[in-house]
Amino acid sequence: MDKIKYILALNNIRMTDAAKESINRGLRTASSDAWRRKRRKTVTAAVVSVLSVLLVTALIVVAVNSIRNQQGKDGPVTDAITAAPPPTTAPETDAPVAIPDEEYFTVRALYDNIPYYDVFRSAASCMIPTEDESAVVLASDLSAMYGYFGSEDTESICETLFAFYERGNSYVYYSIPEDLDPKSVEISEELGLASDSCDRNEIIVLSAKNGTFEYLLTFSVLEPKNWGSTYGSYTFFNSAGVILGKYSAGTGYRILKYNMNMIRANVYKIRNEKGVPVIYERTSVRFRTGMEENSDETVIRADNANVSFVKRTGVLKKGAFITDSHGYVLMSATENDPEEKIGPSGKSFYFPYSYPRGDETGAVSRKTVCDIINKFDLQWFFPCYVCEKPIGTTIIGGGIKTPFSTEGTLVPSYIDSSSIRVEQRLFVDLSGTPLISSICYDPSVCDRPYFNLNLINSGGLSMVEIDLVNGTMNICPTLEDALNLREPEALESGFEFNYMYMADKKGVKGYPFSAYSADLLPFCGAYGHGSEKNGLTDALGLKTFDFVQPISVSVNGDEPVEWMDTLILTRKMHAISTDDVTAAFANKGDTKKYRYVTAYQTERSNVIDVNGEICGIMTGGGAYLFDTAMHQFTFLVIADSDGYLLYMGPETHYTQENTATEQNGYRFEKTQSGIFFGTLAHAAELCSGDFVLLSFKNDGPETFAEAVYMYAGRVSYPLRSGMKTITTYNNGKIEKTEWPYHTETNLLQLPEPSVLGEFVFFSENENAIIIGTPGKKYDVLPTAEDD
Amino acid sequence: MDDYENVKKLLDKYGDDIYRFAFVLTCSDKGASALLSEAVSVLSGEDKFTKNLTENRNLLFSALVEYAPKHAGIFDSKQIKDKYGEKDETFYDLLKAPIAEKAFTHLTLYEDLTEKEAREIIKRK
Repeated sequence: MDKIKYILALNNIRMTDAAKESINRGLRTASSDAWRRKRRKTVTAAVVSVLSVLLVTALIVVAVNSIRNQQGKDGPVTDAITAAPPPTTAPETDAPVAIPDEEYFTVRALYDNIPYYDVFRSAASCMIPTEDESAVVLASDLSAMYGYFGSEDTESICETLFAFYERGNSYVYYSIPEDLDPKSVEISEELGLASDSCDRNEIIVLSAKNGTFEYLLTFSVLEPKNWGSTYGSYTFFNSAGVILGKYSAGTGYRILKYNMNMIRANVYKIRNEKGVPVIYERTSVRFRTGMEENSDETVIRADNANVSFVKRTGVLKKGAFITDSHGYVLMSATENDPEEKIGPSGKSFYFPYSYPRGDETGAVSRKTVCDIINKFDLQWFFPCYVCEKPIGTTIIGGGIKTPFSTEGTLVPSYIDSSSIRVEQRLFVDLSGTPLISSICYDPSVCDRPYFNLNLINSGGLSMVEIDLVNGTMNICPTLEDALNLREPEALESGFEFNYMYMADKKGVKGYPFSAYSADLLPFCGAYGHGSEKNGLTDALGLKTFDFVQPISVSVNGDEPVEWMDTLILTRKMHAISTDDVTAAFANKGDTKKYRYVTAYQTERSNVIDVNGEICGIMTGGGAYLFDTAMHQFTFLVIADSDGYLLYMGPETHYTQENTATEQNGYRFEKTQSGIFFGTLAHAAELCSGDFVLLSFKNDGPETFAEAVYMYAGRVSYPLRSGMKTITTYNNGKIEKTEWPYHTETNLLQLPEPSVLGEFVFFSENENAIIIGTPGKKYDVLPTAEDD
Repeated sequence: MDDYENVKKLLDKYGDDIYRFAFVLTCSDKGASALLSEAVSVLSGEDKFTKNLTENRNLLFSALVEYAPKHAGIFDSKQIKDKYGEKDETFYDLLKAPIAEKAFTHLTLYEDLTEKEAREIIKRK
């Protein structure tokens, strides 16, 4: 390349202002939480300040004593520790913590700069629950949320953020009440010392999900308010003013090992309710050394690099956190069982605070949803529309009746292969404006946002209209009626009303619900384009092609859905490990690279296995599986000698042994569910628009094709009537012919056997999978295995 | 002197050159910005910057190569032409090349580094 031309070509490319700003941000705010800090106001309640000063004085003594004790046990500590200033005088810039790296335990904060968790951290920072199930919230801190909620109504914010608010005899205090004395000192300490120089921050270091509840392990630390001037590096403290460690952008929080027992840690139980993190419980946890063997505790292991689950559970019944390197174990002070306080009586649990987004006509309070569910024995309710009438309010939404068995007992809901995730459904009104509503549910019978086949069978999905004035309710008799609902029946005249139907009707039309309904899979809308090219193929160093079309798969009842290919294409796939194998195909004269890939898929913060089931969680350190032995993660990736991706799919359908030794083509393993289309398509080198017959049936002396698909990239579509180009694959030769196909009969007569050639790839019972030209008759040909 | 001053000095002196390198690696302004931001952030977080400008520049070059795959977009000659005008065709050819190849070419052609120096910068990838 010509040097002069190259330099000239770059001549007018200069750093943009946006780039400069971006670099500044990178310097100053990496891994930071700008939103929260900017809005958080100083806690200046006089009583807190006074208490803080007193407390600081006391805690300095405690800290110094503690450190002296540590010196005796763990050897000398540095001057930086012994000289740890109290928060009120915390250094505004990086403190000289000159301690070797091996003396730090490093954790990375999860969910930084995610608004949802920003709200949680802000709320958690200014709230503590008390023993009597009330919560103390400092109104001065809470005011930081005004901007987010667009309101200065403290009560409303509390109602939204704190489940405590809805509990019968519980209260949310907006300041430390005098009658809480003598606990007030402890409370003020828990909230962090009010200081002009420090903010309290809840660092999320681990998360786990159980149903719709999420459990977050947090470290509560104090950080300098003017962290922005520290260029991403500063010292942080516990609420007693003891230095816990050092934060550095890019590295994360480095905690001094010998101060780990001074960390104030909590496990929060929260739930996403209409995009707001509602705090249900908080349990204080602490480190301890040693751990009983054969304990049934949930163990969460932490080492210097990562924090991970080592024993499967979705629930922190007894949280225990151990560190390999230092022998500390973090134990929960009390059992934290989400089921503990959720009884079947229907009276002691809490429902989401709900309101339809995009609809400004009204809001549905948590209490109202609770009343609706209880009054009408619903398991789930999803408010779709709220109409404020001159008198009263009408709420229209979908309801699912609580299922009862023939014995009259509740039928539990559970995740199984017939469950699909419907946490959020899209509704549209007639004007085409999307209206999103989440499902509200009764956690006593279903704590998971899944439609369940048993539930549908026994309970049924219904559209529900609730008129809060007179309590009338209309329930459509069947699911199909609900889906086809065109006009609610009990509307009053005199007010404008937009009715709605389920926009994703297609997704449920293939009743019973498919476990892998395509509309619920994470799609990669424009794979291979733009800067979002960060998927599995990139991780493998493969090139991609032919993935330019938005992926969409039609769900068609019992027809095999090539969901795996769709899954594979998502950019949410992560490769864990690979193992390359190179094999030559004699008949192709080509060398292909085989790569076995262990990979997993993520959806939100969940890890999903190839069966579409949640089997782990994502944290900042990667994917953590509840039980690695139980899930399928291995895929086969085939690339040509140039690195172009040819196939990605389940390796069980495409074995290395067979493909490497077969001289006349490809062979496939039998599966009970049939062959995977992507495998077949790849073997036949299908092109977009090609025509494939997937199965046939015998009808007397003649055989007819069923399930005819058109291949479009890696996706198959049912065909429409008309002339179709049919691709044949015969001894490595591809031919194309045109043939009429009629969807009215969904049948296509097959060609004479003599025409077919070696088209049979797979045969099982009466189902053959072929690629071939059409004809009149067809005899079952020998399978590849019979060769 | 802290990282901020070190980086500021570096960008004051080599800003456009560094940006051009990031642009060539990512094929877009957006990608270049994001890449620079990440590279600077990580290096700063790891306390890698020193007072030596040349050393800092090479350090940043290495980081840019390392993190470029995450920010690299699809080459779009029209977009580049629309914004920056017609370029020599060989320039577009280079943009289509793999990141390591682009980095090597740029460092030797534009930055006048020796092949050995260029390899040392790229080798981390």
